[in-house]
Amino acid sequence: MECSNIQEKLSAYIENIISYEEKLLIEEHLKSCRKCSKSLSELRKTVKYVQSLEEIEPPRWLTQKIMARVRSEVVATRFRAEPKKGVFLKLFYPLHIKLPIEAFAAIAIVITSVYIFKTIQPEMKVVQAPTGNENVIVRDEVRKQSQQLRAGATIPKDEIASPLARNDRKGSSSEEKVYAFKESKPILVKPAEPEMPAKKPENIEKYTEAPKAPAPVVRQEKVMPSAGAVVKDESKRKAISAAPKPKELVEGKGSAARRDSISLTLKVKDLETVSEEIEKVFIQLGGKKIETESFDNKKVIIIELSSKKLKELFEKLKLIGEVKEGKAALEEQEGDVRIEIEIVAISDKK
Amino acid sequence: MKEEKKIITDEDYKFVSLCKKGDVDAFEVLVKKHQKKMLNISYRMIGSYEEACEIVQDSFVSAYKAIRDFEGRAKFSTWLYTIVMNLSRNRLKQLKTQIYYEQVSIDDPILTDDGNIKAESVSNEPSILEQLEKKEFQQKVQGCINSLDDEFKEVLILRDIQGFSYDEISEMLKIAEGTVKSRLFRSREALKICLKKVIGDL
Repeated sequence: MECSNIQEKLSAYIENIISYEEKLLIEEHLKSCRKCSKSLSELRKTVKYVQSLEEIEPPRWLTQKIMARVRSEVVATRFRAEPKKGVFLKLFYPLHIKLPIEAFAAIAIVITSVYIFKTIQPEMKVVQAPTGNENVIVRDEVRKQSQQLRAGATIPKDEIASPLARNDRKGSSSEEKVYAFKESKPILVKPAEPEMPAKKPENIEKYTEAPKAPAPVVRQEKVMPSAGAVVKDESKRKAISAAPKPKELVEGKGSAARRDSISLTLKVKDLETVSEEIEKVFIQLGGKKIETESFDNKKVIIIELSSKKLKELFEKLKLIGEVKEGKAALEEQEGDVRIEIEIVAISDKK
Repeated sequence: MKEEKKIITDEDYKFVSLCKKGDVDAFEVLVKKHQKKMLNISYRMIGSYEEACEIVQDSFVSAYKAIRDFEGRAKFSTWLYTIVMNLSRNRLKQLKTQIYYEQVSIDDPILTDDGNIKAESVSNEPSILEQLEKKEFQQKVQGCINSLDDEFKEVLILRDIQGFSYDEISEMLKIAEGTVKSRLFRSREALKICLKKVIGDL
């Protein structure tokens, strides 16, 4: 047997895990081979040295540390298992699909903002509208008023005293003026304002609510000296009703009549039958008759009517006769509206 | 030693089944019983006491995590030592790549956890204190073990230091018994050469 073969088996030989035959062969060889005998003794020593290595002692804290880590692991696994049943998760993930709460929040914000924007929009319109045109409108109106005032002031007394004659001579032209004046009126008039003539321009504030409002006041005051507060008011009232009335009465009525009132002129042939028809119409529409004033060839009916029914009324009146009215005034009214219908017989004119 | 193990294993099984039911205290018994051997295996593998302690902790934690998967086909101790062997081996690889282990030559200073031991000449000066001499000698042996390749180191530790049977070793390392034998022969030879150079005449 070769030495290398023997040496290979020496490792097994020292542990006595080889067959008896092999063992005998090795022992036979070792007797004659010094080299292999040396190898065997060296191997034995090596194994002895290795086996003689002292066992090291674990540190005292080792068990504690291991168990601390194991216990924290137990807690961690329990914690990991628990959230499945958690109320928190059920709240935030009610669906089987995990849709995060952020998505819901985003949708909610979008919906809310759209809703808020929609509700706010009309208000923005109201605020914006006056800023651009208000001054122009006011000036126009003031100019019209002053014209009207001059006209009213210059209208001869006899014309008021004898409406017949007026109608004969320049009825149509005066009516035009009345119309022009009346149309602008509802915009300016402030409801339940007792001192109308002097404070009239302040009504603008209702629409503008801007510091620019006082400007027209000055203008109005500049106009006033030429016509005079009382004259102005009276003439205006005259223009509306074309009736000679005492000043007190005019003022009282005027303040009431100006409140959100719409004026319209209806030209008809037969005064009496038409007025009856009109009365029927607004009773149908749910209107309220307030006052009727009759004159020789014209009649003034003051009624109160829901603004929603206004258009209907106008349509029906158009069937009865020729209607003249301010459309702008029509659109701006809200709630119950006071309407002054002036019925004029045109048979006389022709 | 082997006979003793079998009795222990039977006892282990009782605690293992308790552990499977979630008894942490039963696991503590097992920890106390096996930690020393675990530490020794790991220490001989890595050669560092601190590292070995870490490995033992990690091993017990992963053992506890996986204890429900332990089927009891092998002994619990064998299963446990397999874990510590694997973790030690992995750690060793990690350490080697980390500090770029210089090619361990037998003549080079040998790394131990207490510091470098000089590869000494044959003419070894006799130590005054026998205790010191013994410690130094043991460090030299450990140094030689450290110089072995992992696969040879493993079988040497398990067989010559821990005294496991070939059967157990082949179970732990998942290698054939014949392989264990041949590896053991090679590792002993390598160690013999190393010790000759380090200590001198054997």
